[in-house]
Order: sequence, then C-alpha cells, then structure tokens
Amino acid sequence: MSRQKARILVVEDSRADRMLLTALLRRQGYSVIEAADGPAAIAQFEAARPDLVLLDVIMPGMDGIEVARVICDAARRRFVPIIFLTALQEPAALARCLDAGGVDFLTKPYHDIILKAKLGVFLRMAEMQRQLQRQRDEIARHNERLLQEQEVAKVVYDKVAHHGDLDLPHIRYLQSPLALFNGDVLLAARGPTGNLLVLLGDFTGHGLAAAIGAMPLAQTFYAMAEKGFRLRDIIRELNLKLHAVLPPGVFCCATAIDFDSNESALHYWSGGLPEGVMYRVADGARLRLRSRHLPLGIRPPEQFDDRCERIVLTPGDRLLLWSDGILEAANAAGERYGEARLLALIGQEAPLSWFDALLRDVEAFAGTGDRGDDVSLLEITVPDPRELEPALVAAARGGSAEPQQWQLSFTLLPASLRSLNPLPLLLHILMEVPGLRPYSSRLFTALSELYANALEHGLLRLDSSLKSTGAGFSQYYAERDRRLAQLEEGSVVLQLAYEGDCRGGLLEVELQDSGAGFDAITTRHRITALAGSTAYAGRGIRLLERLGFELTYFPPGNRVRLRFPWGEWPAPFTTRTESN
Amino acid sequence: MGSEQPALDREIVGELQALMGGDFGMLVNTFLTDSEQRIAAIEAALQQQDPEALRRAAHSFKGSAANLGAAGLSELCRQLEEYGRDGRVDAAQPLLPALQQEYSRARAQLETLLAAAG
Repeated sequence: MSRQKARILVVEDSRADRMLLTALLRRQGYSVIEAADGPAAIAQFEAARPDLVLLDVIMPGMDGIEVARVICDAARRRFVPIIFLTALQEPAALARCLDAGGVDFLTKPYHDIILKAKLGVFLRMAEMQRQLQRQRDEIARHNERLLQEQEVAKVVYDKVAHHGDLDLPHIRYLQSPLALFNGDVLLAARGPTGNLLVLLGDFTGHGLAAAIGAMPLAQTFYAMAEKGFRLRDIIRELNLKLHAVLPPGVFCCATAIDFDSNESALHYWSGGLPEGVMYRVADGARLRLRSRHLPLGIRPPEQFDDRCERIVLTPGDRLLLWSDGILEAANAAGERYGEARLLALIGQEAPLSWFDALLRDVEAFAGTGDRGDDVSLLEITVPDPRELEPALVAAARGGSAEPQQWQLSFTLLPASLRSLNPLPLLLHILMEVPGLRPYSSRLFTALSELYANALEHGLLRLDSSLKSTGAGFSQYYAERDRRLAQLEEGSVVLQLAYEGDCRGGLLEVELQDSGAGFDAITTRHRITALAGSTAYAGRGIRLLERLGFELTYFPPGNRVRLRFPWGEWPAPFTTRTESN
Repeated sequence: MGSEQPALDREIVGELQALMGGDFGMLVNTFLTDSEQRIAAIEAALQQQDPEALRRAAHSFKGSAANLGAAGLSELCRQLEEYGRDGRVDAAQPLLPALQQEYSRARAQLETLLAAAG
C-alpha cells in the first residue's frame, strides 16, 4: 500500500460531486477510477481491482446497496472496504448499508481531513487482512503438504507394518486409522509350525517420530516369524534393533504372545503396556498378563530380559489387549476413562461380549467425538488346534533347471546346544531348494520334533512321561534347562542331503545324538509302534507319522533318518520342455 | 433563509478553488447544469404528486449543494427530501419558489466568481 498508490473506485452519479471527490483523492495521492452508475461500478471493480470503494447510495437504476452486494460477492476472500457516500440520516437506511457490506459512511460536504483519516484506517485494515490471508494460505498449504507427506508415509508404513495374519477368524481388532501416528502397532504372523505370533506395541511420542520405529519392528517381527523363530528369539532381536535405532527417550511398550497349538499353551512377554486380561474357560478365572519387563528399546542387549511366561490353553480361552489410548479417552469434564472402569466392566461382562461392551462403554463415557484417534484393541479367542492351518509359505520360486546335489553336516556342541536354535537357520537353507517351499511348514515341524527328541531324550535323558500333566510340563522344562546348563559334553549332528532340480527332488535329513539311544528301537522300525501311550509324550512322533514322512531309526536308537521325496524324482532320463 | 446571508460559504468555495485549480470553472458549470436538471426533476415530482421522485431528487441536490458550500440551498433540499419521505407532497409545494430563488442567488455568486477568475 505504502509502496504503491492505493486504487480507489469512486461510484457517484452526480458529476460535480464525482469530480470534486476525484480531485480530493488525487490530491491525497490515490489513484482514482470513476464510475457513474451501478453496472459501470461492477465492471470497473472486476477490471481495475481497486483497494477501496467509495459508493453513492442513491443512484438512478441500480442503487448503491445492490452494487455493494455484487461487489462483495465478486471480492470473495479479498477484503475491499466499501465506504458509502450518503447524507442519509435514518438508522434503518444506514443499517441496510452496513448489511450490504459497507464499513463506514462519508457525508457531504466532504472534508479533506475526515476523508483522509477514514481512507487511511480502512486501507490499513485491508492490508492487514491481506497479510492475514496470506499467512492463512501459507499455513493451509503447509498443512496440506504435511497431510500429503503423512499419506505417503502411511502407504509405505502399511506395506511394511501390515497386519499380517490379523484377519484370522479367531482374532478381532480395532485400530483407528490415526493410531499409527500415535505410535500404535499391531502385528500378527503365523509361524511355519502353525504357531501364531501377535504383538501389540505403543511407541512413545506422537506423529511421524512415533510411527517410524514401527518399521524396523514390523520387518524384524515378520521376517523372524516366517523363518520359524520363537517368541524369545524374536523379542530379544526386536529389543536389539530398537535399542540400536531409536533415539534416547523413545521406546516401545509392547506385549507379544506366541500361541503354540502343538503344545496347547501360550508364551508371552510384556513390558510397559497396560496388562491384558485372559479369560480361562477351564476354571472361569480372569488372569492378567503381567508386565514384568522394561519396554523394548531401553535396555542394551546384554541386559535385556527375554524371559517369557507360559499359560496352558484350552480352546475357547479369550484374551483382550489394549493400548493406552483407550484408557486416555476423556469426557467433556476432562476426566479419563481409566483402567479402573475398564477392569470393572470386564469383571461384570461375559467374556464373549468384552470387545463390544468395552467400545460401547468408552463411547458412552467420552462421547463419539473424542473416543479418540488413538484406540488399539485386540481380542483373541483360542481356537481348536484342528482349525489352525499352518501358514502356507509363499509358493516356490523358479529354480535352476540344472540338477543340484549337495550335502551339509552341522554339529552342535554343548555351548551351542544351550543357546542356539539351529532350526530357523536350516529352514532358511532348505527354503532355497527349488520346489520345497510349499512343504516348509511340514518340514519345519518334523525337524523341530526330531531335534527336540535328540536333545531332550537322547542327550539330556529327560523322561517324556513327565509331560502328561500340566504341572509336569513345567517341571519337565525346568529340568531341561537345568540339565542343559550342566551339559559339558555331547553333541547333536544334523546332516542334510539333497538332490533334485526344479521338477522335484529328494531330501534326506539325519540326526544323530551322542546319547545312549532308545532301548526299544530296532532297525527300520516304522514309528507307529513308538507312538507313546501318553498323549503328550507321543505327540511329536505321531505328528510326524501323520505328516507322512518316512522315518528310519538306527540302533541303538540315537540316529534317525527322514526321507522326503517330492515332485518327479528321480528325474526321467529324457529332458522335457519346461512348462512354466 | 434570510437573503442577508450569503448563498455560498466563502471558506468552502475558497477551498474548492484551491483544490480544483484550473478545473474550478468546469466544476461550477457541471454543478449548474446538474442543478437545473434536479430543479426540473423536483418540479415534475411535485406536479405528478410523486413523493419518492421528490425525495430522491432533493437528496442528490442536497449533497451537491452542500459540497459547493451552498448551505441555504442544501437546507431547502433537506426539507423537501423530508416531505418526500413523509409523503407530504402538498406541504412541499410552497418551498419550490424559495428553492428557485436560493438557487438563483447561488448561481449569481458562482458566475461572479468565475468572471473574476476569468
């Protein structure tokens, strides 16, 4: 305004008055545009974009009030003050002028000083308005850019931290769309033995900073679950990753659960997240999933406690997990929903309706407006193991057409027997074998059983009949840990032999432990007879039988060979054209 | 409106001359042309008993007259405008000769000024 002459549009039908006003304005340094009637005023307003309009009220044809309305519409968000030129006195008429968009009046005769003062005020006001508008536009653009960035981040995030197997029929969850930017993570994956791994996490902080840590978390979680790692290994690795990448003060409260349908138990690790609730069908008890650890990412790896709790499961058992968001839902008075209300509700509601009742109650408490963008709620009903299909690992990649043939021998000595689970490693190698991927879950189950048998029965001489009761189960594993810790010599040797090509192949796995062997086992004994008399002890071997593997035990029973042919093998001598 | 009073405010006219400079003559001539049209419009409104037309014509004339410093003329217009607003065309009728007379006085003074400026 000060740098450039302000443009004033003078709308006045009386020629003498218009001339006079124009002369006054020019003397004050303004640039003046003249219009003698309404239509000319509107045309000039569009064409010359004046900064301020001086407008006569009473004009023949279109009067000033009509013109003001049209001009206000045309100006839209641009603020162009309109000052009416009038000697009108009646309050009603003056009010009509203001309603039509006028900001003030000038009466005749015109006074130089009053004209100058009024124009100065309203031009400054218009300039401030424009500045405000510019800033508002700037903020709006900035905000839009931020939202776009969040959208992009969310797309990337969703690809990495996808919900995995959360859509299984026995899982119910609610995660509000913006929960991600409040740091909530919800992951589920089935492992190759049919176990189900679930993790609910809540990163400290808000916005992108909170969401970003979810990426390494999810990637590690899914990669390890797919390879057959179990909860302890995964949780230790997650802590290590987060500890390495997160800045101080940022960490992840989490509860992770590993449902093992073979063992009919769950293992859980919980640090910092609100303690979930489990309903146990067997005795009607409502248990808390105790949070005994510091959140992930705080402790350096060597101080990290990866110990998990174990709970025996019965089909129909039900678990409910939630993050802080639901507890922080506030009502109009600013009061929070809180854990006491949640637990009271869970105490009185039937477990079947926990999920819905909780959402209803929070909504009734906080109102729909502020149930928040921050709700993560997860419910898992323990299914009948027969309903659980092991994860079908992605179909085989195309392999080399050339036949391959290799052998691998892997010897585990006491230090490694104590701390290393060799199976994910071996499975990883086997997954590179063309055509073997579809069988990964069966193979993994078989290898797990054979390795457990070699280690626990062959080497540690544990009595499997202990496992026939729930209490004995714990005792069995306590004893296993004790003997393993004391193990000073001995070994388990794993040998893999493979030959085949993309059409099929033959895999032989041999396990030999340095123990004394099984008395009862003799050469080429089909395992059926071995299937123990007790449900727990026999399970492993019965399982292998059910999966259709060909097993051979060699005397004195400390060596077992599994043979697994698939596809067209041995290959016919004539080579065929590849069909896919 | 005593005729002892000058028809024009000397101070205002002086300001106008300063403001308009060489254009002062054009301003005066424009005012005189417009004024005659307005007086004709007022006469017509009175004859046709049209209070709204009276109000509008008197209102515009009132403003222009005030701008030129013709206070007496402006005051007569204000009274006519009021009668027009109130629908009292008959009451306005007697003001017409006074208006014409006051206009003549103002015009005479303006013409004298123009002649002097020459």
